[in-house]
Amino acid sequence: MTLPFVAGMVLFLVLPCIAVLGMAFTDWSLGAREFGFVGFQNFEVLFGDRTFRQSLGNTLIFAAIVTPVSVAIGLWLAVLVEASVRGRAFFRSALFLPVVSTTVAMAIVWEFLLHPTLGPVNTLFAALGLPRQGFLADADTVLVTLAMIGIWENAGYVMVLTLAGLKSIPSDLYDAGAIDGVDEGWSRFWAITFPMLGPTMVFVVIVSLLRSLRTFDTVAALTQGGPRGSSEVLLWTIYEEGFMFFRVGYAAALTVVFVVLLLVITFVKFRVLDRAVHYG
Amino acid sequence: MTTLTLSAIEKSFGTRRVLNPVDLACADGEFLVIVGPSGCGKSTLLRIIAGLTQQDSGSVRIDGAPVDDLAPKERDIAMVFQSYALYPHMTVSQNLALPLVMRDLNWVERLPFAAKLSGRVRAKRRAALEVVRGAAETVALSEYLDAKPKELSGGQRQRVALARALVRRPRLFLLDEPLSNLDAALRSLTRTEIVDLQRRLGVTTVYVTHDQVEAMTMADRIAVMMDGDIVQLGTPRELHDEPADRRVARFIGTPAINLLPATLSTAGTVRIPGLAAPVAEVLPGTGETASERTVEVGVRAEHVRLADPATAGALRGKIRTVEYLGSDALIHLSVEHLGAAHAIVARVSADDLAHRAGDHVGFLAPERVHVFAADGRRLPVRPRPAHADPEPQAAAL
Repeated sequence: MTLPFVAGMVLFLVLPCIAVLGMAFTDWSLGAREFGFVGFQNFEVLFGDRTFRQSLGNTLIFAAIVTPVSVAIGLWLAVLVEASVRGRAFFRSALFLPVVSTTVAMAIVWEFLLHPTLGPVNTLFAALGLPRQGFLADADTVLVTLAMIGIWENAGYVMVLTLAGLKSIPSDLYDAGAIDGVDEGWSRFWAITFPMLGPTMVFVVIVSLLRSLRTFDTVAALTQGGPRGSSEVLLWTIYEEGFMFFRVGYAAALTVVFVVLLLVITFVKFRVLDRAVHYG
Repeated sequence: MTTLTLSAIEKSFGTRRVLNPVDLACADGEFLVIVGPSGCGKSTLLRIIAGLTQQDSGSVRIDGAPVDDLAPKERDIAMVFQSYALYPHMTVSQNLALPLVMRDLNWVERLPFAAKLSGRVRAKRRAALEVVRGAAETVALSEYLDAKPKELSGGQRQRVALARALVRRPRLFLLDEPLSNLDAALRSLTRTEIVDLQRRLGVTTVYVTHDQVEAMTMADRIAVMMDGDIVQLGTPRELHDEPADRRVARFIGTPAINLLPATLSTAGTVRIPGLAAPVAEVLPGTGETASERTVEVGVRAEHVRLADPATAGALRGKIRTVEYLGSDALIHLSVEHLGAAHAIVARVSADDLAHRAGDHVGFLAPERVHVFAADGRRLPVRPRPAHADPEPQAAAL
């Protein structure tokens, strides 16, 4: 029974991975008839490449903003939605909408909203007496703006996962808490809700981190890494190198670095967080 | 000194009425058990006493003072839950300390580093720990203070829950089916432990259960609840010997009381069809009507006396099964004239056990019967002169 599954996994997952790893040591260009092994040359070039370094830095900054902020907001929304008596279903659906909607389509809306001259957000800023912002058009603000969109996308996702976690907390614990004196707001949250959400939170943080490291579609739709490389992120750089400049060998090397980064982060996170979390 | 008084407590969930006006009083140091089938409203009543559920109307008073507007933590009560409701991420020690820490330390003092900065906080923490150690000792859990609940057995968790309820020295001790998740052997052991503990501390206790054996063995007084009403309040003995109605009689006692159709004459004489002698006479002014009517006669298994099938004036039955229990045995009979569906149970001493399934036996009109009117009410009967029953067996529970 497992044979077709294993075969499929080897064919579609293991072999491509090995192929990518192999390609990372070649100078193959897409469509070229021949290629040569170049050893670690791709990696040497890569670490000396200003674009790569900026891309890596941008990706880490983006993830460092999006992950904690979206997890905090998502958790807050979940607790709020769970506690609300009316309109629970509405808020749940409304806040989950960014997750199910097509990002590329939603990007058009964002582009309009944040347009430097025509966008309603700038009109609002002007009305409030605030300076107009370039948002996506300005090298200084583009990454933060993309991060805001990333938070908007991810917070709903975090909320839905957290809601499921909240549901699994036995109501008896809250009753016992009410009698023991843990009966309101923060004390209740810190003594019962948050520790009981521990396993959910580990999962949510890791998934959010991976999602934000893998960000691509908003960049592709809105900025294409610009202006002047200031919104260059790893996945976009890989795409550029592989499919726009056809430097497949170099793109493969980038991919290898990217995957190693993901694995290391995941491993470290699980090890660190697992220690702090109560399971079952 | 703690007394508990409930007056006219009512509660509905939506259109479903859970508690009809309920009145109940609990004396100082009393162990009161509220018993009833599931869905009778007993747990809701306990939650109302605790303040976890708000009643629609009526008042809860502790030591005479209304507590209706007080939050659960302000009522100075403790509760043990069926699920134990231990905080799984905390050690036993932290579980036990939480009620004390929440009561004795303000939010600044509770901050993790506060104990490092302030001697006063350290002293409070130390005092709490002392109490925790004492409580853990009371329930024999001293070795497990640093364990997490999941490392403990069901019985140990249950004791942690008890200890957590004890640490604050509450005025009132509430227990909601605390033994339901234990296996049978542990349950009867813990039963005794809880009663011992309650006697030792003398704390007024309300204990909710669906198990009448627990109620009978543990309670000073029992309140039997059915369909949102307290149908009877009394000592275990009163409930057993003088049930208020048919429902209480069926609910209390193992095996359930036998019920046989009978007739009540205009003169007040109760007869079971097929039996020569009348089984009882109701007290004048309680049950007689203008015409003969149908009643039910309740006979406890230990009062059914088996006889030779040829005995004159006896009912006849066929033994279906014999349940051997060691010291005694339960004999299930189908009554001949009532059809196979109508079984009655007789308890006999195992020493006298000479019967086997399939045997035909007779059984005699017992001396101690209850008579229930068609509406379920028990009709008081005139005691009949006892004869030929030299040693009625004690009600075995």
